[in-house]
Amino acid sequence: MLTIPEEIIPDAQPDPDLSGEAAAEWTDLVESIRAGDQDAMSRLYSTFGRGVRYYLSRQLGAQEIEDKVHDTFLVVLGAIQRGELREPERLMGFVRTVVRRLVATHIDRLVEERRERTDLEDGYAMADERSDPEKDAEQRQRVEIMEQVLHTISRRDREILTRFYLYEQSQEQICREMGLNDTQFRLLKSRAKQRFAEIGKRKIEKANTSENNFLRKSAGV
Amino acid sequence: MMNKKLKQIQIEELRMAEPRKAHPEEEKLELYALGRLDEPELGEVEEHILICAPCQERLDEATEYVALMREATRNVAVAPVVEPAWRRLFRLEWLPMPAPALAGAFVVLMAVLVWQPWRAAAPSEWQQVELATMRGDMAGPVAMEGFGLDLRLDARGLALAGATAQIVAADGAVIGEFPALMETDKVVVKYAPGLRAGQYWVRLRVAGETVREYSLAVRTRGV
Repeated sequence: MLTIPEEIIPDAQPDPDLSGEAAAEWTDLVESIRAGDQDAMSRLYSTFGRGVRYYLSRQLGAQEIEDKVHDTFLVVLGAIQRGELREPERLMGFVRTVVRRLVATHIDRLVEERRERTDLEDGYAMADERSDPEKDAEQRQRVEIMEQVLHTISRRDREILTRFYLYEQSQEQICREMGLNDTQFRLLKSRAKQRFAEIGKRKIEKANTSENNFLRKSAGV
Repeated sequence: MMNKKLKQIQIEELRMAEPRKAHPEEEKLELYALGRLDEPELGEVEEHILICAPCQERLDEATEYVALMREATRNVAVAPVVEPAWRRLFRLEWLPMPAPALAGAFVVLMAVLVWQPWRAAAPSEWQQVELATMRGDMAGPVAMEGFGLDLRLDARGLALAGATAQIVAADGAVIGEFPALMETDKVVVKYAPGLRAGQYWVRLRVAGETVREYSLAVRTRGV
């Protein structure tokens, strides 16, 4: 039998920004579930199922997601049916908190298991998460395009992007230390993104043209 | 069949009833992908992502872009680019401000250059100095006043992802902090203004903590 730790069931906080229409929709859904409406339970799953799966795959990878999705809805449905969701209009926040706490509990458990495990030869299987060679090649090409973009900009602009993406400095710190305002900073980032898209597009067009020429030559055209 | 359609409409209504938490802008998604979003914005994005498939795709794109940028900037930082001087001149981006303001700034700059109150800090020559951690009372490296400093810090055995190098005066005042750029197993720090005579410390820092410190003495020329 599945045991959901007490601390996973959160209190939902009231949201002052929620529109009346949205609040009514969520409240209606929660009340329907409390009344035992099977369609409402199905609606809950349809509304949140994909998003919960998406969130879990980002946090935990592809493994063990289905169990966690199932656990999430068990917790949410159980809390609704027991009347523990005191602010029905905050259903989204409630679902978010449940799934975050499930992730945290799972990670804590993994850490504990690894601490206790002393011998890998006991048969502990680790998934090979390497991507396939074709994806690796695509990724390398994209990195090369990005490096090309970085080579085309000034040293100062390159330093700004390096500080932000690699050294993880905040926008505020970078602007302060390098004498930029917010607009200049955003403009630089969007220019880099634009150049990346342009160079990437040119490379694809060039590759397509080469492929077409090859096909034409092969066909004797 | 009708019930199924009605159900689908109800689901869409639920999703569309949240326009106020409208789709997060690109910057917010990027910060989320970088792991640098805090509450309450973190909550807003995560709640929205739970019910918005298009924004899930946008977040995937932002995540991929961030990963590309990280790897590319790391590769380029390790192998710094030497840009031809003529190309730098023709790139208008180096202009720090519009032309009239630039002209005014130029006049002020010429006046200050003639005055040169910082004479010791405006070198025309560079001095390369190798820095390593010293034991006991061994004398540390010495640099000369009036030179731009090209410091090479021994970084063997250190993991320096995201590291910075800090130049600190003897009284603890931080003179400058720069990204730590690696060449083989040394961190390269270039400080064009040079330093006045005195005792300094150069610190390698990771996540706000000093991981290694080097002594640097600067002497007056001719001493």
